[in-house]
Amino acid sequence: MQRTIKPCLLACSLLLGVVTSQHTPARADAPFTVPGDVANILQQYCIDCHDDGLAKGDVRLDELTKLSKNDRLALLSKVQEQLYLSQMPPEKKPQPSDQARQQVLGWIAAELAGTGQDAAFRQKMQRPQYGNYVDHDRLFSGEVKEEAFSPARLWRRNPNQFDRAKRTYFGAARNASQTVGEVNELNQPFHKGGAEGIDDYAALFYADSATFDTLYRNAEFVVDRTLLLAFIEYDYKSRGKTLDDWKADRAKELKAQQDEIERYKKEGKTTRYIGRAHAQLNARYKLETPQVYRDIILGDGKPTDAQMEAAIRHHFERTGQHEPTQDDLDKYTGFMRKEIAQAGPYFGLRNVLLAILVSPKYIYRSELGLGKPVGDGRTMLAPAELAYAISYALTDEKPDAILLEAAKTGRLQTREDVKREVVRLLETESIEKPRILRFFHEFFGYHLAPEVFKDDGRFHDGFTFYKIATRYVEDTDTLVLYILKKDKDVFRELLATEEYFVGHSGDNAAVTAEVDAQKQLYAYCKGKQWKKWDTNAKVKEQPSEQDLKYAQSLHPEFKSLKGDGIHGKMRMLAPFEEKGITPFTYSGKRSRDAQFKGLMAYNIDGYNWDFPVEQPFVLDKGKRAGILSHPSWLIAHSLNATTDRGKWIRERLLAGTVPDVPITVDASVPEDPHKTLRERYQVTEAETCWKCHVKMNPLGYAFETFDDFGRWRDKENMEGLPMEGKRFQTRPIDAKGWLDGTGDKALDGEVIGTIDLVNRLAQSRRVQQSFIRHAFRYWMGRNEFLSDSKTLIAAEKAYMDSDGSFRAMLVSLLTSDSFIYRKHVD
Amino acid sequence: MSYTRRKFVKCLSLGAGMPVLAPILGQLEREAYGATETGPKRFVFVAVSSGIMPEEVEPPSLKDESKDKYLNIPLDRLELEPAMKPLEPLKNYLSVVQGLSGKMCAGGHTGNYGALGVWRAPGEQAAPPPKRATVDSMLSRMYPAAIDHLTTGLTGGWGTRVTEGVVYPYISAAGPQKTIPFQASPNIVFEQLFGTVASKDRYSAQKLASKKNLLDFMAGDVKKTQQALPSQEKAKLDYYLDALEGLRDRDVKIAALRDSLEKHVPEFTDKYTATETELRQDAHFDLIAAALISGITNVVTMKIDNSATFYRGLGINEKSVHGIGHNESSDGKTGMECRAMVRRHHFEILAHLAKKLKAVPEGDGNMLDNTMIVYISPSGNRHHGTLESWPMVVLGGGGKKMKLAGRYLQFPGYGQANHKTIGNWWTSVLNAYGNPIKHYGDLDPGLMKGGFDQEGPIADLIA
Repeated sequence: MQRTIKPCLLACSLLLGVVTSQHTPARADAPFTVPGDVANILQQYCIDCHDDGLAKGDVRLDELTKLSKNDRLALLSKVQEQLYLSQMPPEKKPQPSDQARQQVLGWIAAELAGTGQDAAFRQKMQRPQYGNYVDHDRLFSGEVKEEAFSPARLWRRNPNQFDRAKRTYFGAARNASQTVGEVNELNQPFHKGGAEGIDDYAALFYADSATFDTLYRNAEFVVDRTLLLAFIEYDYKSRGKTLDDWKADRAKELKAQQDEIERYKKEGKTTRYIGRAHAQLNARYKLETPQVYRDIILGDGKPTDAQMEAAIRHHFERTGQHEPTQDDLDKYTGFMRKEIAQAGPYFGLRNVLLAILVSPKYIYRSELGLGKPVGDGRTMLAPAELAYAISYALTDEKPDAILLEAAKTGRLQTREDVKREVVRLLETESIEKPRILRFFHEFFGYHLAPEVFKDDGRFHDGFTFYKIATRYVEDTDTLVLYILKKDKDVFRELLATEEYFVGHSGDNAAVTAEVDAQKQLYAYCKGKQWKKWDTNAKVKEQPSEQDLKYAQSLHPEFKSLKGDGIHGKMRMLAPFEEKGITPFTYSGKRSRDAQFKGLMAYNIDGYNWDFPVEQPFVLDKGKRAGILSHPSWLIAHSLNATTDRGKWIRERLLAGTVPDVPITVDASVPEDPHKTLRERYQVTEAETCWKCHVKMNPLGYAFETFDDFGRWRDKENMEGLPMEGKRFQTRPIDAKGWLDGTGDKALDGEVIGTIDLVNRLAQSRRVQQSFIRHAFRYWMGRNEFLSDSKTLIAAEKAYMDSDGSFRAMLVSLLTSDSFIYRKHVD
Repeated sequence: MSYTRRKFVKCLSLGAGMPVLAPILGQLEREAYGATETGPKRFVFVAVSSGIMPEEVEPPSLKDESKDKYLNIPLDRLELEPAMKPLEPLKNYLSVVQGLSGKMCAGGHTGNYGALGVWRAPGEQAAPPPKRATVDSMLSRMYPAAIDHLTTGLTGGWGTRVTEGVVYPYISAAGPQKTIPFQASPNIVFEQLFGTVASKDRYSAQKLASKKNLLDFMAGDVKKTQQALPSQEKAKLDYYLDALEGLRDRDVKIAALRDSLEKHVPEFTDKYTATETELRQDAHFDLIAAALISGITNVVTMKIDNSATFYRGLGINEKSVHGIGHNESSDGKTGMECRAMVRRHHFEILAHLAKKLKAVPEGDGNMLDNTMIVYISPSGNRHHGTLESWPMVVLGGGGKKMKLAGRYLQFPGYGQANHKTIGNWWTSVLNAYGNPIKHYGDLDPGLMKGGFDQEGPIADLIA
């Protein structure tokens, strides 16, 4: 009998990617039976171990019919998880065919539908780390014919959107520092999960009491500051005083501050901090209350609807929200009227402005699919929903005027409309699109390098390592942006390019101009007494007017150079110019030594390096290739280097899975100064450990060619052993590893060293597909369902048809059914 | 019969009478379980990452004792492990509990809710949704206050680097699917607890009244919004609705405690906005002490660190808690030596808190007499917990409900006769304080095989 799928069952089968079951769950009043085909499969593969004889794991599947309903459902839910994660039957036992597995899963899903017993499992499967459990081969097989969609959903705003929106909370545009310096007082209400990697998933985050608390605190801060000047007038007036009284009070305050400063001076104390505290206190009086608010607060206490609506609209706009709907306007004017009647115009307005900043609409972006139905249960996102979805896909801001206008005027209703707007945003260089680079951060995780602690002393005494690591991240960013700009063979390039940027902005013309200016400066000054232009020189001198003028004219960055600054540059340039090489472009804002020393992660001796003005350049032929040989990535994944790096490749590039660390594991790497790291890792090759570590270590071993700073090596420094003179004792490294899981026999097999590994990975179709799966997750905010198969296949096709254009793939994802259509899934 | 605070709140529809009745409600809940004792009891759960190894809290003289047998020795006869020296003056209030297993929970870097909830909740980045209310949350409903359950912490889950604002350590749950958020910023905790009394605002009463209206308005708005949503999305707003209703109660109750809060508000100093681990811990514990003493809460759960925490103030610069947990050396010391330094530092903090409570008279004794401070790790017995034992350090008189103070307790090793689990342990705690639950937590399948009777409280522990 063919049955109609209930919504619950639909949700579950979507998630699990199981075939639609032909089984109907038993009616509540009917006795429970196991259908014959399922019973046969259980008999053949499960019951041997799970009957009264062995009852392995205390699980018996031979008595399902005798169990109470609750016990049975609980047991089935357990079986579902084991089967789904392929943890049962155990590896060494005969395995059911995929079809048989699907059959049992389909039956269980039907039994569990609507009982709530599978809720925990369903939620678990929605988390990013379970994304790879959706069968990779089936996703890309083309056999799945279902049309794609995302569930109708609310998506909690993310921390970046909040950070972007708050910049205008006090009325100033763009630059946070212009907003009376107070936006930093606002706390982040939207936490990001602790997870590294892509995890801004709609299903994962919700607002609770802590979110409300933070939002309310922020709202009070913003609203009270914004209304302050009007409030003062209101307050004085309501106490029978005038603005002049306030001015007099304020003058007294300022006088008291002045007195305090004088007292500090007299006592010989520094006035720096007290002065700053006063400035902070006084800054709040510089913020003008917008007229729309003043009209209400200082009016007759009976604001018109138009006045109230204007105030509400202004507040929505200022706080980076959607345009208020008529429903919003009605709701909030109603509330304001009531509040004003109770507590007067100031508190009435204040409460409404607060309410807007803690409302569900402020917290959640709505993607319910309020647009046209397509007849198969799916509806399109409504134009307004689409405008936000598109904008937040690429930027952290609400839609720009063009998008909003398109939504209003009926030009955001078709896939072509969506494509037009996506392409427009991508092609308009002036629109910041931080979300794209952020994808590569979250995918590769290289941006976390500064957060990995390294012993400063091992690196270079006198400054902190994380600042240098920040430079490595900038270098990787430059490379990623360069590859994206070329937009050809993007994934392969990211993994295997031999070209790198080091200490370079990526803008060859600008760097050339700076280097030329430095050379001219050196040539001009070298015969002069520049050593005396140092403020610390014993005999101080100043350059002549003419010298200064010349130096300042060389480069826009030099325009405020003084004698001391020229001295600094000359001191840095001299050793290089004397050797006839180009110095690493050094910006005075950073520590020079730190930068020179920092180059060691690239195996570069900064003091003797002829800086390539034109970049990218081939850094270390045959030793480094792509991001996985970049110091930033290597450092970010160096905590437990072998397993971290191996696990990353298994999960992110090979779409594979590694189980959670099991309960019995005490995974400490034994300390032994006589052994190399690889030798110390041998503890993981014990049989019980190896079951999981085999998925990580053989991949991680290939990275033995790098140390934890990202320095290439062919010997390991034995830092725990006594030094031989000024050198560490060394031991040869063993970078032999093993690649499997590419699905390509030509690529799988023994690998030696990082280059060998990344070159094979770069050729793998599966790796390309894994990239696309992760891009999908990032842009759809969820794990893929089996029904997203068409979206993924189309994205890969778009990529391949365009010679590996990331942009083409992205446009394909953002115009896919998965992006545009919604379906109510309960 | 299960009377929850919420049910009472609903059926009595209290409004302004609420604060007076709050303690009575808890009493009613305890009476519903058949308990008769009155008077506040307080609980502080301090969750430490990276495990507490049995030998780290074992008196040196017992090193050679068999771990398979039962020990119950007065601590005053024993010399404490050197890292525990800060607790020496509090020996009468101290107990060390060893030998309880927890193999029904997830081991490894963290078992998340396992320590306080006794179920398997693996996951280093995030834990699966909670199965039931954890013990701390259950106790907070039995001993309600203006803030039933104060949850603060240095940081969130296992390896997160977030150290400000709201964090999610995945150790406490209010019920199935309901994880409890923690507040990591001491300045925000300060404001939540003492904001109303620290404020000199002439209009604070009006603002409070407005906030109540706002909460009512929002609750109505949320309910309306929910109607159009699919069920999973509805649930998201349910959390919000709960939050709004909870906060409405809380504000009223805090207002009623004004006198007490004014008396105990700590001085607001730089440490409330400091970034250094040790200063932040200090600030958090100052607030915890003030919160308990002022009566604003009776139950606190505190996440004292996580694997990404650095103890640079102790001179451990090179390695985080994770590094030293893996026994990597740092600053010329072995991982184990560093762990001992951290442990000692924690015990100094606990001793400081205990002394503050001890200084406040209550009934015939002092507040510490009626407080139970539990120091426990979600990772169990080591950095990668294996959970055949789950050491705990307990401090305080606990209202003389349990026979713990001043004792060193070692339960027979895993699988031995009379072996006990943390399920038995928490069952004992709940029973001792008035919830006669038959058994709290999941059972260990491994022990079930051996025909072990795992259920029920440990009779010897209950006074």
